[in-house]
Amino acid sequence: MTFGYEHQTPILTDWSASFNAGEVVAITGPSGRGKSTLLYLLGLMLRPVSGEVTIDGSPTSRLRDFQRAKFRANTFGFVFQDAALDSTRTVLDNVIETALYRDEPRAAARARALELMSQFGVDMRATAKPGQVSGGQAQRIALCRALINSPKILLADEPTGNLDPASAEIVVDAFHHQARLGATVIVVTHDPALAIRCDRKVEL
Amino acid sequence: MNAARRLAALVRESLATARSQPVASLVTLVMVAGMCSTVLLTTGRTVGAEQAILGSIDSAGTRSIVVRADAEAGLSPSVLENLKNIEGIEWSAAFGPATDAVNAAIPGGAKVPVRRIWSDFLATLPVPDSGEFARSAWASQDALDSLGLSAPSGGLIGTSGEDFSVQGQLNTPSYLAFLEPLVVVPSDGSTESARVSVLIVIATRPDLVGPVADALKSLLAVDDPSKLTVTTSEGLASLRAVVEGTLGSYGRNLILIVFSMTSVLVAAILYGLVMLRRKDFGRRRALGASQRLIVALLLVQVGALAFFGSVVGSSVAAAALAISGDPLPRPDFFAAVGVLAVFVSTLAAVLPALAAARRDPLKELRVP
Repeated sequence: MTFGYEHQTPILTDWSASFNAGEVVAITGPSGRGKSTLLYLLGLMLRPVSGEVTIDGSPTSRLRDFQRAKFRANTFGFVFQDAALDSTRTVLDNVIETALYRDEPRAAARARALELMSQFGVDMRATAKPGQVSGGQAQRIALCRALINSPKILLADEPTGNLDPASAEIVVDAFHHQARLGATVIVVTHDPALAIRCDRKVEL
Repeated sequence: MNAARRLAALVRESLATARSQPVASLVTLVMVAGMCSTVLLTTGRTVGAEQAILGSIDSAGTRSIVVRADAEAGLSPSVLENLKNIEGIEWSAAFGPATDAVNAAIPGGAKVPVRRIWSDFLATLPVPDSGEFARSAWASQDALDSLGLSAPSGGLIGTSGEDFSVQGQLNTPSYLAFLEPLVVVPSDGSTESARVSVLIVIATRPDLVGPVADALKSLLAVDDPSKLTVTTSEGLASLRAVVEGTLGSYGRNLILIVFSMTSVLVAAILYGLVMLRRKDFGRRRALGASQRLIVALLLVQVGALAFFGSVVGSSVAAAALAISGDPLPRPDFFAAVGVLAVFVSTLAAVLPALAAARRDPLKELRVP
C-alpha cells in the first residue's frame, strides 16, 4: 500500500507485509520513516491512498467509518506510547472505556477489567485517577484496556519508551502471552532490546 | 445489546463525562440558565403583561354579541334554537323584559329588575335547568345586597303582583355585568307568547365575533328589525389583536436575539472544550468510537446540561417574578422556553461535536 498526506511526499510507497497469528513482530527503523503511520494504517485509523489492508483475507478500505470503528473496538487492542489515559476518569473507567464502543454490558466488562488489573498488579488503583499512578502503572493500565476485549490483533506504539526495565519486562511478557493465545502482536519500537525479543523484525 | 440499553449506556457515559469536566459543564449550565432567566425576565415579563392586558380586554367582553330588542320587535326565545345552526358559539342566553321586584319582607325597599332567562348553558351560572323551578329566582351578590338579603333565600314581590322565591346565588360572568343587579327566573319552557328583550351570544374566539354576528343577524326572525340593536365587541377584538400582535412580535424578536447570542456562546465554549480535549477524542476514535458515537456523546452531554440549566434558569426567573410581583407567564410559556433552550443549545453543539468526531488519532496521540 501507499500512504501520504495531501500535498506531501508519500510516507509509505508500495509497502507490503503480512503478519501471522501467534507472532510478535517488531517494526523498527529511523524516525520519520512512517512506523507510527503504518501502525495507524494497520489499525484502520487511516486509509491508504492506494492498496489495501486485509484482515483474515477481508479487505477493509471500503468499510464505512462506523464499520472500521467496530473493527477497532472488537478486533484490535491498542497500546500507545504515553498510555493515553483519560485523566478525568478513574483507572477502572479507563480500562472499561471500550465496553461502550463494543456495546458490551458495563458489569461484564467491569468484572473482566478487575481480573486483568489483578493480573497486572494494578487492581488496588482501580478508583485512583491516572495522575495518581506511576508511569509503569499507567502503561500496565493501558495494557489492561488493550486486552479487555481479548484482541485478535494487538498494536503497540513505543510501548516501553517511557518505562523502567522492570515495567518494560511486564509489558513484553504480556505481548508474548497474547501471541501464545493466538493473537498477532505488532510493536513499533526504537528499543533494540525490545526488538530482539520479538519473533520477527520488519525494518522500514 | 438492545437499543434501550445502548441508549442508557450513552446517557451514562455522557453524564459521567459532564461530571468529569466540572468547570466546562458548570459554564454551559450557567449560560443556559442565564439564557432562560433572561428570556423569562424580559420576554416572560412582557408575555405576562400581555396576558394580563388580554385578560383585562377579554373580561370586558371581546367575544360578546348583545342584541337588544324592543317589545315591538317580536323577538322570541325560539331564536336560541336557530343559534344551534351557527358554528363558533360558546354560550348564549335570552332574557325577557325586566320586571321590578322588591324584598317581600321590606315593603317599599329597593327595586331590582327580575328577568326570565332561556338558555342551554344555565349550569354555568349556576342555575338549574328551566322548567323545574317555575317561580324560583336566582340573584347575584349585587342584587342580594340591593334587596337586603344576607343569604340567597327569601321572597320577592314584583310590581305587577308576581311573587318569586330566591333559591340561590348567581355567579355573574363578566359578559353579564351590564345587567347587574341581576335576578333571573328560569323559564318554564313556554316560548310561544314570550318575548326577549336582550339576547347575549359569546363567540368561541374574538376573531369570530364578526362572522357570528353576521350569521346571527340573518337568523333573527323578528316582526320589525328596526326595533333591534346589535352591539358587538369587534372593536375590542381588533384592539386585542393589535396588542397580541405587537407584544408578541416584540417578544419573539427578543427571544430570537437572546437565543442566538447564547447559542453562539455555547458553540464557542464547546469548541474550546473540544480543542482542549482533542487528545481524548483522538483516543476514543482510536479505541473504537465511531464518529457518530462521539457526536451523540457530546450532544447528549450538552442536552442534559441544557435541561438542568433550563430548570435552574426557569426556577430563578419564576422566583424573581413572584418576588417583584410581576405577572407570571403561563406554565406552557415556561415549558416552551425550556424546550427551546435545550434544542438551541444542542443545535449549537452540532458543529463542535462534528469537529470532535473528526480528530485524527495519529495526530492527537503521537508523542513528539
